[in-house]
Amino acid sequence: MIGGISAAHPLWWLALPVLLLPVWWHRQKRRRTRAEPLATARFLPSAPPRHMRIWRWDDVPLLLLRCLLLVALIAWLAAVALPWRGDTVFVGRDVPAAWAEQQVAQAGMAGARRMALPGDGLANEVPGNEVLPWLQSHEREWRRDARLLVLARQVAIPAQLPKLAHAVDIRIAPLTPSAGPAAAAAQTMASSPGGILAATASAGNATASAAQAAGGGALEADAPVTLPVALVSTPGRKAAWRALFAAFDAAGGGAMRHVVTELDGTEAPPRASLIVWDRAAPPPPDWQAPLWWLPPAALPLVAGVEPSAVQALRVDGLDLQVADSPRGRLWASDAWPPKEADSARTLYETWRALHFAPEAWPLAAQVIPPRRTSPLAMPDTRPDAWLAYALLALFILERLVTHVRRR
Amino acid sequence: MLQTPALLAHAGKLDLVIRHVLAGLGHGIHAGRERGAGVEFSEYRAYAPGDEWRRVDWKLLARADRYYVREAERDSHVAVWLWLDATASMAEPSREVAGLDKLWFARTMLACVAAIAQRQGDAFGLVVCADGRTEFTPASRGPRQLQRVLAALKAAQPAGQLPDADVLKKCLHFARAPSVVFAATDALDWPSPLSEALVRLRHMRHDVRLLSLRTRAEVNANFKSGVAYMDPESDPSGGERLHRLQGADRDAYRAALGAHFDTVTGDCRRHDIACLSAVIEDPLQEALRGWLNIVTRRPA
Repeated sequence: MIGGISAAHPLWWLALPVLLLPVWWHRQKRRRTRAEPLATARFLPSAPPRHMRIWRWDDVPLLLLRCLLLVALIAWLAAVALPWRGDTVFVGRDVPAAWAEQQVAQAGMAGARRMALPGDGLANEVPGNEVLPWLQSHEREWRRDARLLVLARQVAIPAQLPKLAHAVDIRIAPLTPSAGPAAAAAQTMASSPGGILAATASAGNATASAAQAAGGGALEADAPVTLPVALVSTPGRKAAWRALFAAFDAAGGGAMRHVVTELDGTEAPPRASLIVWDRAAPPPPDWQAPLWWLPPAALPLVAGVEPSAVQALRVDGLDLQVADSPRGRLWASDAWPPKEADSARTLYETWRALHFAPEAWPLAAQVIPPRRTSPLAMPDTRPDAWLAYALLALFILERLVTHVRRR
Repeated sequence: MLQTPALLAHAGKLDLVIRHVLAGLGHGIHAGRERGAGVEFSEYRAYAPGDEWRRVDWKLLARADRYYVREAERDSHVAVWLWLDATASMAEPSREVAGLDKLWFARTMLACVAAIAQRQGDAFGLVVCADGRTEFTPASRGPRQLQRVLAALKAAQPAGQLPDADVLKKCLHFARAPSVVFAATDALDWPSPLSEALVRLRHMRHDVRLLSLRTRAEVNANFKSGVAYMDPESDPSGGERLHRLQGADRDAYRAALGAHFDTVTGDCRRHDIACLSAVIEDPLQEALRGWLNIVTRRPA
């Protein structure tokens, strides 16, 4: 790797001695002294045969073309990629513009190219989670002297900080000043869902205010993730379920909204992430969801559930029977819906812990120092497209020149 | 027109050159017993291109509406044999006149002799020695034979070496009738199958006349020095043997060549072979005249 050029298959550079072949061909051969025929030469004294040893090239343009062609071919085989990116600022989608400008000016990278954070366009992806792995696999695109600045609201901390060849300056955007205290309050409330649940449970179904308060504290830029819930229950317990999901809304800090749809079991299959089937009757056969909450009486009624495959779990005093069926995972408990705040909190935490992917741990703002001299060449690197065009052009030129020389 | 040797050498048509060379040259190589066409009528034959118009029988044309030529009885008993050495060394070019080489000179001389023989009514044939083989044109008379011989002369290309003695011996079967043998060679291989054949012919009492050709540069030994020279007839399998020519080598070369031709002349004299050495840059007419007149100088 020379000057930041990286090759995914650098072993191909070992083929460079192939260049000796055209060099060998184009070297003028050792020539004898030119002898003129002379009929009476036999009357002359004989001379030792003399050789002219000349180290000279013939057809230098053709030789150069052939060497270039071979070099291009080897470079193409070695999947050479020339770094072309300069200073770059990665700006997250949810980063306040004014703050971003301020940071860019402070870093002295006003002329640098802006790029969206990789993985930012994905819907259910937390922005900034993909930056560091993406950078590691694409780092060869940056020139050696390029500076990288990442402006994001959150960058996931990887299990191990990647060893990069460039210093990466990661700056984390602060929460907006207006939303700051409310968000902080929401954070604290979220960290202790029990308090909220106590409030919501005491207020019965009057949880709207708490949910709104939590929603107001949420960041404006964060559109809350909606979680559709299908609820099939007896009329007497519907209010309790609604109150539970309203409390869950508040406990999530407004980042997650549970959209509860009340059904009576005769409708078309709902699109729900969670189906609460609070009825001791078999659920309709075509309903499917990743998770079902059922009373234990309904559990054997679900088709495809073996009684032996039902697992009993006890999590923080919450008795659960868990089974997997073709329609999704089934949770059954006697305690549906939770009667008091503690059991609701236990259910919420168990649900978050068992059924959702863990949230990424955010990385603190820092400068990741360069820890290797050259970027890592990924084995799936494709050679640059211009190299293929150059190869084609060189091949055509070589054929033309050879043909012209032969005429 | 064809005043200089270069112009002559570049004239493509051999018969044109012959006409030019023979203009003003007296008739006769020897005293033929023929007294002209049609003295003793023998037969009519169909006209062939090249026949002289005056020999066409016009009365017969009026009668038969065809051209017939009166053939006369010929009583020349002398056959003329032309012997061309076309080995590779005969390609030696003149270093002064472009386009002129020994083979051209020899070929033109032989063509002139053939034309004279045809004019006299003698039968003439051709032997070309080239590339280890002999090409044999049987002796005959008449203008068509002349065309045949000229074509064979023209087709001869300098290549290879002389045929070996056996091959040459086999082709001497022609020499039963008394004949005159005109051999044009560069005589560089002197004790050679060719020389043996000539001596053999002479011993069979044929009139053998040798023309040994040299170039002016060979006579004067004024070749370029500092260049490697090779013998065109050297065996290619043995590798090229190179020769050099430097200042001190010129005298040795001249002496060696002189000694060689002295040997040739001496051998010829010993076997009573008329020998003329000619320089190819010299006028062809004089060489031809000298070649034809040797016989008169020779004691009978």
